[in-house]
Amino acid sequence: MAACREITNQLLAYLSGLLEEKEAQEVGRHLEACPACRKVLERLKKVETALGTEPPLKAPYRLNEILSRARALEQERSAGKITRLLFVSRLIAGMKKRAWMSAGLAFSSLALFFFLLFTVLKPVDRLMVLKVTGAVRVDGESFFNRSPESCRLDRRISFLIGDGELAGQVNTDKLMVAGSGAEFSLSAQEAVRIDLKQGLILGKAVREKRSKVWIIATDHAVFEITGTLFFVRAAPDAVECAVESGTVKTSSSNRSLMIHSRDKVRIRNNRVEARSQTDGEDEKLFDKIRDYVIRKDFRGMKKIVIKTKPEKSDVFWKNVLLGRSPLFMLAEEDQTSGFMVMQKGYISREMDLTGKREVTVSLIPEKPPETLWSMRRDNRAFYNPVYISGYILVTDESGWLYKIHAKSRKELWKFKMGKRNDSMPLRTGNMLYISSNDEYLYALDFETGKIAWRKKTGILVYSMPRSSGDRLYVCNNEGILYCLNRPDGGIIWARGVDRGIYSSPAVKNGILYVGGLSGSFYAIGLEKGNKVWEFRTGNRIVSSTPLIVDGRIFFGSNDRFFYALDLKTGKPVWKLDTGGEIFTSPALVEKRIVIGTVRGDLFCVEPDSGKVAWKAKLGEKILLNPYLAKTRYLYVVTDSNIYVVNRWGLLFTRYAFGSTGFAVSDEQDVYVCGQDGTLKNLRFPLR
Amino acid sequence: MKRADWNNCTDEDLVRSYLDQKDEDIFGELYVRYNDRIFSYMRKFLYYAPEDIIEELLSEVFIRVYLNMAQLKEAGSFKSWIYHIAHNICINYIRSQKDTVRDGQEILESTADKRVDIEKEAEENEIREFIAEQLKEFDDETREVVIFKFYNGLTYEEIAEMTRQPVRSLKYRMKLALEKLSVKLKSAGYMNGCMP
Repeated sequence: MAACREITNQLLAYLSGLLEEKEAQEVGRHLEACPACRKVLERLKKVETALGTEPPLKAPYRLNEILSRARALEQERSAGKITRLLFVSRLIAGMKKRAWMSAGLAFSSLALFFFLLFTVLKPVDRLMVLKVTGAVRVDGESFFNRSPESCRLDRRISFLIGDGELAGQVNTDKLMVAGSGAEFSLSAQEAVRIDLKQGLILGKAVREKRSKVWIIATDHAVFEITGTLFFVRAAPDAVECAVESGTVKTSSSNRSLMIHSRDKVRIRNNRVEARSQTDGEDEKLFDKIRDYVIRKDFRGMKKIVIKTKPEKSDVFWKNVLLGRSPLFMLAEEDQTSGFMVMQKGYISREMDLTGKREVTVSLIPEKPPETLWSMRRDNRAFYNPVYISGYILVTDESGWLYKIHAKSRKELWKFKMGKRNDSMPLRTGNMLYISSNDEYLYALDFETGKIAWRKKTGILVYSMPRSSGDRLYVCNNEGILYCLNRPDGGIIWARGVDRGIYSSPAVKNGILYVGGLSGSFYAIGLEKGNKVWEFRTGNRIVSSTPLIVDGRIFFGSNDRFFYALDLKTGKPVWKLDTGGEIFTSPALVEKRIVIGTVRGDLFCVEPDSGKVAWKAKLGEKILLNPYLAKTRYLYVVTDSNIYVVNRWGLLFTRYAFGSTGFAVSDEQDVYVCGQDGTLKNLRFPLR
Repeated sequence: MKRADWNNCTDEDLVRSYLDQKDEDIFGELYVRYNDRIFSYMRKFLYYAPEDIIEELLSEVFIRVYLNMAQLKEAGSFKSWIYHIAHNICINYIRSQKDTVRDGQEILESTADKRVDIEKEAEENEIREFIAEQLKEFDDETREVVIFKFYNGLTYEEIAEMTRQPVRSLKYRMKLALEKLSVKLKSAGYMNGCMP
C-alpha cells in the first residue's frame, strides 16, 4: 500500500496526539485495515515508552557551593548593588577561557563589552575572592609555596601565577570590586598573570601571539586597546600608552579612537589629552609619558638603560610595569633599587642599579638545581652538615663524625662519638670542638680526626661552643656555662646561668651573650662568669643565636618578638612583633637583618630602626637558620623546600626537597641532608 | 515544616515555607528534586557544550532560583519557573556561542551517517541512544521541545510558558520532529519485518 509509507511517518505524532482530528481519523482507519502498520505502531510505542521512562542523568551535587555563592550575591543585592546583570557577565566570564581560544573576535568583543559595562557600573571598594593555583604574590608579600584555594583581595594585590590557573574565572566585574585594579593576561597557553596596581586596572588579554587586546581601566573609565602595545602606564586618573597600531575605545563615550602606527596617547578622565603620530615629531610624547613615570617614581635618580635578554621582556619596578626592554630607567645614587624582569617561562633577575649607567639583565629559565653528588654511609642517615673551608663535617645517626672533601666527597677521616651531635662544631685553628649528645665535648684535630681530649659537659648540649683566647665556653641544656681550658679541657669555672640553654652564645669584647629557656637574655663576663646584665623576654629563647652589629645585639624569642638591645647596657632599642615564634638565628644581609619565624614569614629589618624593609611569606615553618651566601642570595631551608631568595625578598627559585639540615659553601654549593638520610651536593643555577 | 513532611509536599508548598522560614534545607530539597532533571535537560539540549560549562550553567540556575524565589509568589508553578530560568540560561549560552555552535554542527554532520544497529528487538537503551543521536540534528528550538516533552515529561502548556511560544507552534514543531524521527527509525531498519 502506497499510503503505508506516509502513515508510518505519522504514527509517532499519532501516538503523541499531535495529529489534527482529520488526520488522526485517517490514520485510525488505516490501522484498522492494515496489520503491518499496526505492528509498526506497537514498535513505536516502545520508542515512546523508552524515551518517557528514561531516567534523568546524574548531575553533580554542588549545593554548598551554590548556597555560598548565592548568599554572597544576596548580600550584595541587599546592599543595593546591581546583581541582575551580573549573571550575564558571569556567564560570559565562565566561557571566556574557551572563548579566547576558540571563538572569534566577535565573541571576545562581546565579553569586553560586558567587562566594560561592569567595571564602570560597579562600586569600587568591595572584596573579592579568587581561586588561584600557582605562586602568588599578595600585597607585596610572596606566597611562594602556597596555592591558596581562594585568596581574599581587598586593597592592592598582585598575582604572579606561573603555570597555574585562575580557577575562579577572571570575573572582570569582581576585579573592579577589588577597589583598585588588576592586570590580567590570558595567553594562548592560559597562563594567567594578574597584577593589580594602585587605583587602576591594567588588563591585557593576549589571544594569540600577534593579536592582543589590552583592557585598561581607571577608577573613572575603562579603555580597550586592540593592537600591539609596547608601553603602558596607568595612574589613578590617567592612562598613557603607546600603541603600534590599533584602536582605543573608552567606555563612557563608546567612541573609538583609531591609533595609527606608533601613536602615543595620553588619556585622562575619558578624554584623550595628548596624541601624536610618530612619523616625524614622534618621540616627544613618548618621552613625556616616560617622564611622567620617572618623575613619579624615580625623582632625583640617575638615568640608566636596562637591556634584557631576550628582548621585549616586561620590566617591573616595585610591581609596577615600567615597560618593555630595552628601557631607560633612573637609579638613585646612594640607594639600592632593584627591578624585576618577567617573561613567560622565565624568572627575573634583580639588579643593583646603584651608580650604574647601563645594566644588562639576563633572564634565566627556572630549573631545579644540579645534583653534583649524593652519598650515604652504611645505610645510616646523615645529620647536621657544616661547611668549613672546603670540607663538610657531618654526623650520622650512630655517632660517626665524618670529614668529607666538599668537591670530591672523599672521606678524609671519621671519628666515633657516643652519639650524634645536635650542636654546631667550632673550629679554632687546627682544632675542632664538638658537643655530642653522649654528654661529652670532644676536641679533635681537624686535619687528622685524632682526639686530643674529651670532657663531660652535661646531659645534652645543643649549644655551640665558643672560644676566646685559650678558653672555651660551652653551655649545656641544664643551663650551666662551663669555662674550659682549651689545650687540655680542664674546667676553669662553671656557673648555673639559667634553667636551660639551647641557643648558642655570641662572644664580643670579653663578654658572652646568650639567651635561656626562662626567657632571659644574659651578658656574662668571660673571666669570672659574673652577670653583667640581664634582659627578660616574654617566653623561651630557644635556638636563636644572637647577632652583634654596631654595638647592638639582635635575637628572637618565642614570645614572637625580635629584639635589638644595646650591647653595653642591655636596654632595648627596639622590638619587632613578628607574629610567630623565632627559632632561627638572624642573618646579616646587606647591612640589614633577616629573620625567619615558625609561622613561615621571613622579615628583613633595618638594624637602626627596626623598620621592616621587606617581608616574604614562605608559609612553612622556618626552623633552620637562613644563610646568606656570597652571591648575596639567601638560602632558606624548610622541612620540604629549599628557597633561594634575593636581597629584596623576592623568590629567586624554589626546589622541593625535604631536608633536615644544610650548609652552603663559598662556591654556592648547597649541602643538604635529605629526609631519606642522604647527603647531597646541590648547585642552584644562579647565573 | 519538618524534614519528614517534605516528601509529600508539592514544590509550591516548599517554596512557600522556604519564603516563610528562610530555611536553606528546604532550598536543598528543591535542589535535590530538580538538580538531575535540569542537568539532563541542559546536557541534552547543549550537547556540544563542555561538561564544566554545563555544570557552571547549572549552578547559575540554582543561584538565580535562590535570589529570585520571592518573585515566584505570583509566577505560578515552581516547575515551569525553574525550567524557564534554565531555558533562558541555555539560550544566553547559545547566543554567546554562535561561532562555536557552527563548529559543533560540522562535527554532527559526520556522525549523522553513523548507523545504529537497532534491528529486530531493539533494547530500550539502544533506542534512547539512537534518538539522542538524532536529536543533535534538530535545530535548537525543536530539540528543546522534544527534550522537554519526552525526557522531562512536561506538558505543551508548560513548555509554552517557559519558552514563551504558542502551544500550536510547539505542537507543529513536535509533529515535524516526530515525522523526521520516524523516517530515521525506518532507514535505520527499526521497522524491518513489520513494514508492508
